Amino acid sequence: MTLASATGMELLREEPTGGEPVLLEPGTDAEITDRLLAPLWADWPWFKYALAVSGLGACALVAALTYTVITGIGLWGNNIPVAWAFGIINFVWWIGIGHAGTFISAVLLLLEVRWRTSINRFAEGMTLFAIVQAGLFPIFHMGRAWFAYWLIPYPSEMGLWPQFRSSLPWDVVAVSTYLTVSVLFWYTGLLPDLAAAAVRAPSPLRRRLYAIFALGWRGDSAHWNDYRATYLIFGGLATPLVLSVHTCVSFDFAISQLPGWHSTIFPPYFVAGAIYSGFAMVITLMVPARAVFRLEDVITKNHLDNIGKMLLVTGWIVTYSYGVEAFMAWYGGDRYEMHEILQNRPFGPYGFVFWIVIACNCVSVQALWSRRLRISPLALFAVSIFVQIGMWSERFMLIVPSLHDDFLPSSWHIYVPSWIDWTILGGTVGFFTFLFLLFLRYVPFIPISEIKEMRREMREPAGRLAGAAGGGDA
Amino acid sequence: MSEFPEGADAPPDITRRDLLRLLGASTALAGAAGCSRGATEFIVPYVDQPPEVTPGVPTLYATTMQIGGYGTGMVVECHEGRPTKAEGNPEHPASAGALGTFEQASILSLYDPARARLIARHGRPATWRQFVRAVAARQPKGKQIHVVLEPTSSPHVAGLIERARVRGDVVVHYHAPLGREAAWRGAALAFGRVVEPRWDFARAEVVVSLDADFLAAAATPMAWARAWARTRVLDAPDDRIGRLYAVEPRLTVTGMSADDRLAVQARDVRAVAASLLRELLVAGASLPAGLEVASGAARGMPTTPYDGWAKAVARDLRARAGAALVIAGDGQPPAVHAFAHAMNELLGAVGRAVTYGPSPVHEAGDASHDLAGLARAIDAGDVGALVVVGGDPAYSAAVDLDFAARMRRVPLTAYVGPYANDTARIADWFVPEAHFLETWGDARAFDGTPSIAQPVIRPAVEGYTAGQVLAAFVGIEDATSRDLVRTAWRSILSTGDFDERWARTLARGALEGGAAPPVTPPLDWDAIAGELRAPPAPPPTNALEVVYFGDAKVHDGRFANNAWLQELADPVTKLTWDNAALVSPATAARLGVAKEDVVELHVRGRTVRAPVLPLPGTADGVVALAVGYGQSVADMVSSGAGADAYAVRDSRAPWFDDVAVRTTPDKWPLALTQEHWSMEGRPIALTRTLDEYRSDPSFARRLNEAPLSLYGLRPAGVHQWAMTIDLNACTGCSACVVACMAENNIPVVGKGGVRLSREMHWLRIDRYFVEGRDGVASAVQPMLCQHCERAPCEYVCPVNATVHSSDGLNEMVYNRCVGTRFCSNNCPYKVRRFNFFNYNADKPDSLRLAMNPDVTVRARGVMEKCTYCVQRIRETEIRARREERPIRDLEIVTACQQTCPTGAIVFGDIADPTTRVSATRRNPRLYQVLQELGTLPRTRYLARVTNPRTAGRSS
Repeated sequence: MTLASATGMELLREEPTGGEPVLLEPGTDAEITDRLLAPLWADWPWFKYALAVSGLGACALVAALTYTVITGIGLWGNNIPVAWAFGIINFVWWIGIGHAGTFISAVLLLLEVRWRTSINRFAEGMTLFAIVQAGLFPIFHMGRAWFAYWLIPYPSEMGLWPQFRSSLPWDVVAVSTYLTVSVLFWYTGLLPDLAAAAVRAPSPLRRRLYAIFALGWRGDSAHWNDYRATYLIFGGLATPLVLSVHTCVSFDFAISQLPGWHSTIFPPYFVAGAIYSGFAMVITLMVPARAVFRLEDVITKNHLDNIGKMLLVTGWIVTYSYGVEAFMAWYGGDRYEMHEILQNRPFGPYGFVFWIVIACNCVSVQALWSRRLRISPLALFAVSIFVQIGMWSERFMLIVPSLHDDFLPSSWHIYVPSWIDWTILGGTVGFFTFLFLLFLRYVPFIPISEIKEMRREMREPAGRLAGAAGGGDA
Repeated sequence: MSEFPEGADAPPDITRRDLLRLLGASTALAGAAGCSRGATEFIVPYVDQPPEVTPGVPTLYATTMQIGGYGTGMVVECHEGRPTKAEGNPEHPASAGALGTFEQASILSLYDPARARLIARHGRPATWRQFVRAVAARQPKGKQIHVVLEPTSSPHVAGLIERARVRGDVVVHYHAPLGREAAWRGAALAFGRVVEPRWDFARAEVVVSLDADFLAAAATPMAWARAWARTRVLDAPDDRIGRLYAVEPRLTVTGMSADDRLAVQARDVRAVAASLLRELLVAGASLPAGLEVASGAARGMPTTPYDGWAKAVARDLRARAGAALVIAGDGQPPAVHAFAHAMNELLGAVGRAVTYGPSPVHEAGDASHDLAGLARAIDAGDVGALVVVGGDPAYSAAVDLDFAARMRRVPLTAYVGPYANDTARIADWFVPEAHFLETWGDARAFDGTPSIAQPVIRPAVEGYTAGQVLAAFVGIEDATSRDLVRTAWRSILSTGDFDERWARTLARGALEGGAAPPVTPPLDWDAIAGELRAPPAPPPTNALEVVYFGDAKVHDGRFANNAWLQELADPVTKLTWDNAALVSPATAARLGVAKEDVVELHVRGRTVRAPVLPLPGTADGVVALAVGYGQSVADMVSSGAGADAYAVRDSRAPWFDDVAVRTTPDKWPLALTQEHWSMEGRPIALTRTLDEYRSDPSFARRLNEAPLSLYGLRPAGVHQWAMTIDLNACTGCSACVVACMAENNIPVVGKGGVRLSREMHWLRIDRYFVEGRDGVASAVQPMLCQHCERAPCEYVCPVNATVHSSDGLNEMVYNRCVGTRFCSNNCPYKVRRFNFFNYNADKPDSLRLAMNPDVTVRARGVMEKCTYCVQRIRETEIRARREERPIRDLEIVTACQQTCPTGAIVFGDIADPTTRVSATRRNPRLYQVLQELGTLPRTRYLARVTNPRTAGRSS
């Protein structure tokens, strides 16, 4: 670890990455706390407008889902053969986005990668709200959503259990576990900062509220001991979930025998795609927040650079998977598989989606080979938007074209989404934004204690053992 | 003349808005009380239980349906007084135990909420007596009452017609837009009298069909298809099978089943027939005496482009002389029929594959089967009153007769019919017509066998029959239909105890040994020679030709408001809820039109707009347009469906005519159940020629092997149900699809639903086109749940809503289904259907009466599919258990199997090696669709083996 100092400003670099500093933070711990809590007390003139717009989206979502439950899935564009479409596309897309949060929080925590610290709270929040969106779909895409609880293994009076050979009950388990662990992990990490906010909030009401949510955190060393152990345990619990959740989701397709779905590459391919889209979402949210809240000193170019690299790596895994899929279709020699992957996907009626996927997921990300573009927030933001469009389109490409022309040509039929489908997709974006805005407004979205802890650790390597120093002056 | 305001005959306590809503709901027909979620309803038991009714046990009644004067016997299943299902009557010569689409769907028409309910004069309620008086009041003025009937074979109606003729003041005409005048005139031409051929296809090894759709067209006996299928039985590679040649302008069910098909314009069929007859006359080694004139005429004929084809086919026909048959279709001119009769004479078919008998239709071949005489009488001012019974001549009569305008000139007009249609709106009086299932009647089969039609339900409306109307005009004012029928039958059942024979005939459904004795009229070769010498049809030009034909779903328009039929995919085009101008792909390219483009068809100065549907197999230069669509009746499920071919159909050319096609920029969305026509080279509906089969007899068997598996295969039950479908016998006629809808309470989703590919049919007929030797060949394949032993749908259902029974059924537990639709995604056959909406809610009560109480009505959000008619399996199991006996082979019959005219479907127990289905499992043609997936389907197919001319020469 290097400690650099320049013109009164401390530059903390993380050794392996070199290059840009990971933290540019002057002042004392107290000053850092004040600085990072300041947005909570500040007035955000734009906030109510943004909240209103995204709230409208959330209302549209509620309205569209209510209409669907009252009237029937027929409001969507689904048909037979394309029995799954936007509902499942949106589910996979959102749950994929939810992966980056855990990856950043847990995997990078266990790997002791320091640059995660500035953005992990952010990414975890994003994860939670993405899981909320994703979780809507398995319920509401059902013909009889009011019986969704039948997928949960519970000892019913009829002695009926779910079908454990199906992937869908496992989805329920995977997603609900993921949501639970993510909430606990996020909330545990939040405790010291909520306590700090409770101390510093300008009004008694806010102090009282933050104190309640801080669950009596006093910052004594026993707390810090328990906190650290708990945090690591959750990190350890969450890490396999990064792999298992999207693996389970991929089984929704891989266990079928549909050409284009029936593929053993799906689990790693889906996990890579999930992390890919998740990192893209982190960038999409982080770049504007960094500019609005002037966080260039906490979320430095080092972060941009690193996330850009992650995007590039996962982008290549995804690209490689596309290649393997096509190769295996040809190498396997199955006529249905070849028709689906080599003919229908690129050149069928949904061929344009395939080329959007290639352009967004495989081509656009290559810009990030350039370090200049990686540390340019604007370029990174643009690429992240492309990747999200690309990853949504990828799920469309996997789901709809595979279904619309499968084994018997007699049942082939085109699928066209209805306006309800589009409303629901747009509505989840609105609902997600709505939740995220509330999160930004009322929760310390940069982990203050961890920033301080990291600063100390990087200054005095032995400090890591001392441990508890981080939030001491909160 | 005032017209009826639409909806004027509705019960007064329903507002117009309510009525529209109710009628609109009939687009998504069928529903059952008590089964929809959340509804609280009360059931009331019988206070006095009728002795013949045991609640839960259906009663069966034999009755007869008549289309175009041809009766088909059926057995109607009634649950607590509600007819729910029609089955074929094995005792009836036309049915032979099977039924077609129309007969199957007739149940729904009975309950149609759009049926007329009240007798009305100018829209105001009136009584039957007032009606009869009003018509009779026209008689003293020296004018006649003219009655337009549909062609009828009914003995009691025939008797009343004769009685009217004697009186002289009632004149009867017949109107059927799809009448058989050409066939009758052809017989008159060939034999000097009207006879009808009774074809025995079972005895014909080679059949040449000259534009005759004998396998599926309306009113053709199911017995013909059944007999034909017997020539397609192929158990071992060395078996002989028949050969079917089809010459036709558009693809028909018969053409799809043909081994060798020649697509020509309809006007060229005559040239083909003449050329074929010449070959038989000229090249025949020894001709009987008396044929010199005809032979000479044949020698003098100019050459046609079809001579090469005719030479080869004639050689084939001569080689099977005695077992060869030539038949002509109703849409061909009399000469073609005469040529067919002549060829059968030359081929020695008479007395073997064909016999002749009198037409069952009353006054067949008479000029009264043409409305021209009525038109002249109206113009002459002789018509005091015009009473139209059935049909809808204002809509369907030849357009040059201008029937509607002429009808308005008659002082008093009345219409006795089922719907407030065009004729009803012109008529002063409107009397509801009784549905044949709610009144007494009778009819004759194609061979003259009389049968009784008995009511199977108490009439819902005050309806009257043709017999009652005629009786009123000949002075029998208040006769019940039963009295009229019984009176007429006293002469039919003249020997023995009348009541006892009446009861026996009623129960049996047809008079035993009642067929008219065959006649063998001598052929008039001079007339044939004259036709051969007559100027042949002009040589083929680039001129386009419009071909009119009876629709496979609405027939002449009478079933337009039957949602089962509207939603049935046309057997050939797979089109629902519309007709279309069918053109060959080459003609479409020539005209620069594509699917769903609207074109204007100009025929003799009149125009009709129709959507284009390019269809392989249509002869180039042909624009084929089905009649029966484009009706302007409001408030019906058929509103806005299709193009009205009658608007241009001229009495001088009722079947084909010159046409000019003009393109328009407009589009007309069409709802097809199958959009993709190619099999993509996949082994799905396997077809081989006989030669190919003999050189590789195991071609199908290779697709029947079970893949290696670590798991045990068979469920443990005593019985193992399975189905085999013989593609050699299946014609694609689609009767099974309607039977399935009726049996299993299948809802209708409407044109919009079909366009979204949400049709609910558990059984569909897939139709593929493949490049054949002579252009396009087609293949059909009934596709239904395959009841896979290793079902892909079962393991993906998260809630165990689809599971396997111990007797090998793939069962669907509706109550448990949450609607994830994963099962449908993983079904390689895509036979599962999803209730995207609550299709069964908000049905008019009358349609609920058509529901089968043995089958669960599915709610919104659940998946459904073919059950192998599990209700029938369980019912038989219970019966066998109570009678302490094993279940007999063929005791359980699925609905599709029961109605199949060709017997292509066999169902039974494969655990017992002696059953018929087990025998089919040993057939070398047995295969599994998508065998490589390892699903081990219980539904298996016998590959189709065709017998084209170059194949099997030695056979």
